[in-house]
Amino acid sequence: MFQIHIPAVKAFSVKEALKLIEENGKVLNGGTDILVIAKEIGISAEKLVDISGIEELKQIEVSAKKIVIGGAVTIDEAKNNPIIRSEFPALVFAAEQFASPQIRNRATWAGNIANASPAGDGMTALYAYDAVIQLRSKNGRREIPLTEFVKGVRKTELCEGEIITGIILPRGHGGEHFGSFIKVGQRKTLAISKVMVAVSALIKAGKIKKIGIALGAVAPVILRLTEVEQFLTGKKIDRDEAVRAGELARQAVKAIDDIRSTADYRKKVAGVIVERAILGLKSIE
Amino acid sequence: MKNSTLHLKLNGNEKTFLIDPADTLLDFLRETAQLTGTKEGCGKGECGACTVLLDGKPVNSCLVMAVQAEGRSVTTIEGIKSDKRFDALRASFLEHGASQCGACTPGFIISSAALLTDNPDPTDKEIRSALEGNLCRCTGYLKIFSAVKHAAENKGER
Amino acid sequence: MTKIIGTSPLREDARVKIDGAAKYVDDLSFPGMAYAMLVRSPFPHAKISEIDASHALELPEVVAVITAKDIPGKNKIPIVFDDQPCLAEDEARYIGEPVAIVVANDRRTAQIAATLVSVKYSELPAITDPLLSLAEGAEKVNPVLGNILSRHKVNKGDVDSAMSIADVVVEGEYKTGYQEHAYIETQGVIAVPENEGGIALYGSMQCPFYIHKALGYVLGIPLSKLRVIQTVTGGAFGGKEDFPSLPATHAAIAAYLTSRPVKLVMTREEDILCSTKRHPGIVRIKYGARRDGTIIACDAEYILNAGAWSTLSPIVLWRGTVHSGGPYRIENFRVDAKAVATNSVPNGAFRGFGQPQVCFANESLIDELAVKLGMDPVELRLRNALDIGLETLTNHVIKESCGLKKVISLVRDEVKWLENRSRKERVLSNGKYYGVGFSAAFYGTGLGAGGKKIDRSGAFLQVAFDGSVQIAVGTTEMGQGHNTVLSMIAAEELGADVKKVSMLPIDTSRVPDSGPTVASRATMMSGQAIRDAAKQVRKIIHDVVAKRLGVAVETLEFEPGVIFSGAKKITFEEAVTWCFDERVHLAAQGWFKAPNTEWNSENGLGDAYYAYTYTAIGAEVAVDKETGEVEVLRIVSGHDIGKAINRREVEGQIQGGAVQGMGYALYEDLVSTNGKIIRPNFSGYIIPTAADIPEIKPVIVEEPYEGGPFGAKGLGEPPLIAIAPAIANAIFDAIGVRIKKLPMTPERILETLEAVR
Repeated sequence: MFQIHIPAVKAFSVKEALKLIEENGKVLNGGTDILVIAKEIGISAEKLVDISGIEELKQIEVSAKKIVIGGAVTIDEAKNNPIIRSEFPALVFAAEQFASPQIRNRATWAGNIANASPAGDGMTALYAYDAVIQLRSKNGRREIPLTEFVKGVRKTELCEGEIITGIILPRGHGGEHFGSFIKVGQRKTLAISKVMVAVSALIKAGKIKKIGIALGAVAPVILRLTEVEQFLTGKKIDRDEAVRAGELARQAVKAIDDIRSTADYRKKVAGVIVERAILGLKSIE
Repeated sequence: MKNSTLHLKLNGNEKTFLIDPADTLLDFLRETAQLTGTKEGCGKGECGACTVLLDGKPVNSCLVMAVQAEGRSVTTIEGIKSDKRFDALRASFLEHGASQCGACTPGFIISSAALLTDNPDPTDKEIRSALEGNLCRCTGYLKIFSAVKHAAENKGER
Repeated sequence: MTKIIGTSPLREDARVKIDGAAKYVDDLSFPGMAYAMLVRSPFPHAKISEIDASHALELPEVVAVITAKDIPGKNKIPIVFDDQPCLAEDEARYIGEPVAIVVANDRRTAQIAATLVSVKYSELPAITDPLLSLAEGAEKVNPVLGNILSRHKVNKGDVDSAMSIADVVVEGEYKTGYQEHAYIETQGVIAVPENEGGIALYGSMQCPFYIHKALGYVLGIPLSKLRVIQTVTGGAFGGKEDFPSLPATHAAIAAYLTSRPVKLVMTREEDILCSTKRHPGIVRIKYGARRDGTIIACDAEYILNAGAWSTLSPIVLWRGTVHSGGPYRIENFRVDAKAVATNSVPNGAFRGFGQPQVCFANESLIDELAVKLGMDPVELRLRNALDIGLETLTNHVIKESCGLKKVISLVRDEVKWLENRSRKERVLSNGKYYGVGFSAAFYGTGLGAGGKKIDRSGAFLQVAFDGSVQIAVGTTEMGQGHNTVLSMIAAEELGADVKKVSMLPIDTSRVPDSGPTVASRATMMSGQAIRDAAKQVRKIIHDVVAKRLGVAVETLEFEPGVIFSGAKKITFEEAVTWCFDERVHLAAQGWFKAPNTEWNSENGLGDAYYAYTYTAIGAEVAVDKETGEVEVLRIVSGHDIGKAINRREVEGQIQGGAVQGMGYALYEDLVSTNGKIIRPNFSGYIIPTAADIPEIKPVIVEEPYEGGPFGAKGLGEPPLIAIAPAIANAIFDAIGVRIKKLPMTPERILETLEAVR
């Protein structure tokens, strides 16, 4: 039965959380999405299992080839991590524009993925970085690329009894890390995006060595603009190339109509912000 | 049903309460702890009226379950009121006409207090960013910005 | 020379608000209190054949389920026409219409039980478009009044002939959307049974006496047994004028039938879904002018989507109608206005009250006229502006207090109109296009001819032994600074220290009926009633003082806190002690009746109001031509308000109104399809945040109005009214396209740009 008022219970380890979830529990992390859903339509579970305080999920682990953002790391916490600031600037730009200060202090990167809204600011930035999701259940662990994990609006590969324990981001080497993030909403802040773009770029000697362009809020899932990425790889960033990239993006997008905007608007503006995002690529000092 | 215990540091004091585990932190504060200074404006984290400090950081208490505050520190407007560090901030809100109907005011004070604690000398832009999560429908915000700005400037003098 | 008026004493009510100690209705509870939740219609139009509460009543914590047949008195809410039921009986006529009241021991059970009440509906065809409602043969939406809930016409001169000889004619159709008040405190009440068999109703409200009357209707008991107590009210903007009568009657019936205190506080969703809003409007308007810019004719048609019941729509429509041509002298004027019933949520009062819709239309069209004439839009406004000796649209000859030309000129200078308008370089460093726009408006303060019978105010003033002063009025503080301003007026007139003046909390059994707190009238009306009382008490004090000092009473002078005659000087407190020694009664009743208005309802001509506030707005914007986003850079908001009683609070009204107007202009889009509001929350309905706020420069003009306290006229509403057209005109200046529909969303702007390409 769908319940509006569900008791919550705090888990102190992943193991404990997995056990509690098995007893008809649903994961409660930062709560900024699931509690809204609970209040609006209810949730079919006996309890909410709070994983937000589990120490092993609060870590950001750095190794030579990758960085792992723990499943309970908040938007704000990751934003302040030095490696994320230097190597994943688009995540930081997205975090700065994410909802509101209050929400950023609670919402988690993993939760943004689990919610699987195509208008998720954090998830759009993660798309631009080839993120891989770490999952754990009582049966074991598995990893799955973010692009495969998300299946549609609020639909994911997450199985019953499984939780997101971390987000793996491969570290790029041999260049400078640039990024940008642009969102267009009805007002400047605290608005769900009509359309947004996140770009990650590794730049060497003024040329794009590797680039990731993710477009959010235009379609049922976040889009990676691979054609545009291919077009830009190996090129220098200048106005003509950016304009061309914007045009390619516009052609590539199949946008949707919904309450927040129209397909027509999204298609047009997607091109504009892709162009601007490429021209606006920057690093964080 | 109140069948669960909650230990937390509430406005500076270690406390234990018997709570309903289905309560949000906001429900708990208003109904069980009888601290009604924290207001509910939307219940969905969209207006900031219910902002409190959780371990010193502003959060929407309507989107935190009470049990998630276990072992943590929670500061409400009642706690700010008895904290001398924020006397200048409260006085400045009064002097600048930053409160009209007042329903949003406790939330704005909390967000401002968090800002000034982390950043005693904020720029205009930083003030606006810190208050982005709080809606006000009366003042047009400008007098709130001035109040925070002046509170920061006058802090040393008081 | 006034000592207190014109200064900015602090707001005493704000202290407890800042500390979180102010008690709003949801902060109160009473022993044995139960909670009510409404069962509401999910259909825009449906027949109700059966209400089965058995499943809800099975829950042990459920106390009662109440339907229309249980109402002890009339199933009617009195507002203007008494057409709206308290609970729908045979048919539901909008989504969200109350059908049953569930009462439970706790809030959660009430919420769950409301979903368990099974109502058998058979859906009926619904009309949600006002134009379809007006079509011939349309189904009757409102069973009492039909589909035209109200109609007003004004007919002055010969519009057709004037249009035919005009050198230039412009016309256009302008549409405006819903606006939700979005007060931060949602609607809420608590009804408490009293020992004597009556009900005390606590709640968030603007107009306690409206609720008082409504309780009498539904409970069928004498008004003398009922009292209404206003709790600290967390914003209203018109939304707590007419609407609270509905939840108040629900809670009161529940309390009456269960003999328990009953709390009813709405969730934000519920509030957005079923509380009143600003009426969506359609305005078709046409101006005819001579080559020199003199407007000789205005012809308008005004349609409001009123929703299922009439609420205050007739008066909202009337205010819009008589202001629809703008603040200009126009010899020939015609307007036909209709408030139309639809199967959607009833709309009601909202700051501006029917004027923002027409102002967006007429002030946009004035700029189009300027383009066609090749004339500067500010010059065009000045040429036609109302002034002393000229008559308004309805032939009201202005005899005093008209600062329109002055406010237009000051705002023009403050916004650097000539310089900014003629800027050559329009593209800003961020690639956006710069534009500056202007608008003007007038606002009849008070209820005027439309609400003549209740345009009066009572006040009671008494002085205590310690020299402190207590005032009772029936108008309310809802955040606007009412109590501070009225305390200042009392202190000034009485000669007391403003810090020693207190306002009695509102309880209809203890305060006089001062009429509703609406129409920007409280400062004027209650201010004058308080002055009346204060003058009487001052005379009593001065008589005693003169006698004791052995001087003639005419020689006494006073300032706040002191009374003196030549070198002799005593404090107000000493004087009060003397009065108590003399056993005089230091109290008085004050009364003020608004001036009479002459009105001819046949041709719609006469003195619509007794005085007007005049407004000019300058807006500077930056438009992103590629995304359609508009950034407002600066707003200059000028108002002739007669006298600024408290400057800081005047600025607060001006800035708050500007931001609410900016939201109306650009962001606030309440999407409704087939009578259903989509996403009734603050992520679907977008109001301005801290990040969106431009500099807002208040310009205050003081052309005193003899009939107002210390020359003051009303200010509450004017700051919102003319913001949207100033922004629309600025957008036109920036990118050369005219947006004729509010809100001016990025989508609309891009579409319009595409269309002209």
